[in-house]
Amino acid sequence: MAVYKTRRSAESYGQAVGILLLDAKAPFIPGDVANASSYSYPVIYKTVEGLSTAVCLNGAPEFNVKMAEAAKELEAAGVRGISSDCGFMLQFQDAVREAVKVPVALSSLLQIPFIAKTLEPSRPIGVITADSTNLTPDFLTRGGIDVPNPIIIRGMQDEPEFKTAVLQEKGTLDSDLITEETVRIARDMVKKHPTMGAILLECSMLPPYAKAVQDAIDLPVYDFVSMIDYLESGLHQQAYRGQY
Amino acid sequence: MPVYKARPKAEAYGYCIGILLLDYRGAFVPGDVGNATTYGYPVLYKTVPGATSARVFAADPELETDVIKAAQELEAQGAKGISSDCGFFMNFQSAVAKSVNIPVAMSSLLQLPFVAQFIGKKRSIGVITADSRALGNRVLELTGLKSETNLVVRGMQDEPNFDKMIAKEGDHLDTDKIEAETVAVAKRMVKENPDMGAIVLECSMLPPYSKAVQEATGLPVFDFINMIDYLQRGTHAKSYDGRYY
Repeated sequence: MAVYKTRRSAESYGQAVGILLLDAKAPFIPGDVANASSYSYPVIYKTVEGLSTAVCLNGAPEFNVKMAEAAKELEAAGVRGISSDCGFMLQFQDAVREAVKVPVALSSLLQIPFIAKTLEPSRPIGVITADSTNLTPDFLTRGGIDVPNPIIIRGMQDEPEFKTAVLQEKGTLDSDLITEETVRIARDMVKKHPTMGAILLECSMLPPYAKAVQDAIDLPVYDFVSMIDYLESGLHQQAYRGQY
Repeated sequence: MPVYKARPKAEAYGYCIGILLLDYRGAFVPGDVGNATTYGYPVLYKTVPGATSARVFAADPELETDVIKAAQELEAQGAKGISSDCGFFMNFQSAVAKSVNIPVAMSSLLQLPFVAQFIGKKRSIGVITADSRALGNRVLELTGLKSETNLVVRGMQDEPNFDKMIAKEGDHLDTDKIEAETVAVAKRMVKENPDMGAIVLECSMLPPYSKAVQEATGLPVFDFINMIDYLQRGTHAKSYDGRYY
């Protein structure tokens, strides 16, 4: 492949995954979906203006068109797959998928059917979300997520550091405190549901704490970054240089 | 964590994923599920005695006890997740998931519902399998795939080199020839289905050719290794050593 064609809509090249961002301003630390150093490959970001965290969590069908347009711009720039930085973007999955030709995985919650299949159907799956008042069983069903395993949903909305740093965007974030808050919730879930088979972190700001959660409860933990890594692996197949 | 507990059943430590193997002797080249250099982490293999391709393809119920026993041994040795080296081990997925406490992803085909969510129902998903005669609706239903998904299945069983070197357990394997056959099957499939949105490779001996298939078709390609890597991600959460600037 020695002759390359210009993509007129591309500012730069080499990004396999495009990530649509909420219009939010908080510290996106290493491990966060919106920190480029979380990945071992380049990604490209695009903010959807006006789509604040609160608006997205409460449900915003009026943003279907804007989301589709932003996704099309990422596609035109050359990305091979599209994701986002909020699990609640599940509500836009259909609209965005219709608009582009590349695969779309907007929400960490899309992992639930696969996780369920890896477990015996009676074993609960725990979901730790930014806001359990909005992540209802009905929200999942509308998003096409329908599994036999019980889904146990717990929210971070009343945890003081998470609430002020993430939901209220106070401008700083203490990752030690959020580690404690997340781990405490995870431990409590497992205590109440001892047969739990896996935990999924919905929120794109929680992957930095996945390891602490796993160390505390010794269960599989899936998060937003694990899904984006999976998507990328299918967009960019590797050449194997192993031994025989 | 300075105090470690011995596991009585473990011969060695540090294996992330346990992989059940068919009772099969062929050449497992780099990129094959059965080649340990394929992964960025250590895996532990265990052959299921008597599990020939034919019996696994046919979901032989007499195999079930042996498959479960092998999976339980991998768990006792310390594996954090279980997979296999044949997409048709889908036939034993639920039996094994019931018998161990760790997550089980026996078959590459479990990715079909996942990939279908990425693609939607308006575009098709192509599956290239070792044997399309064995990949019927019964197996597909086991994956949880919704019937609305537009699936196109193609087999490698009529490709002469695949048949001789892989299906019939040849004593050598020519990767150039298998690659040419796989790419030809993929190109034909995409030409006949121009709306195709992604390709899934069922067979554990096809990942070495995923890159060639992707370059030839320009489509997302998901194979056995992508799924095992994903299972590894879930069972071994990352610690991030990135930057904040």
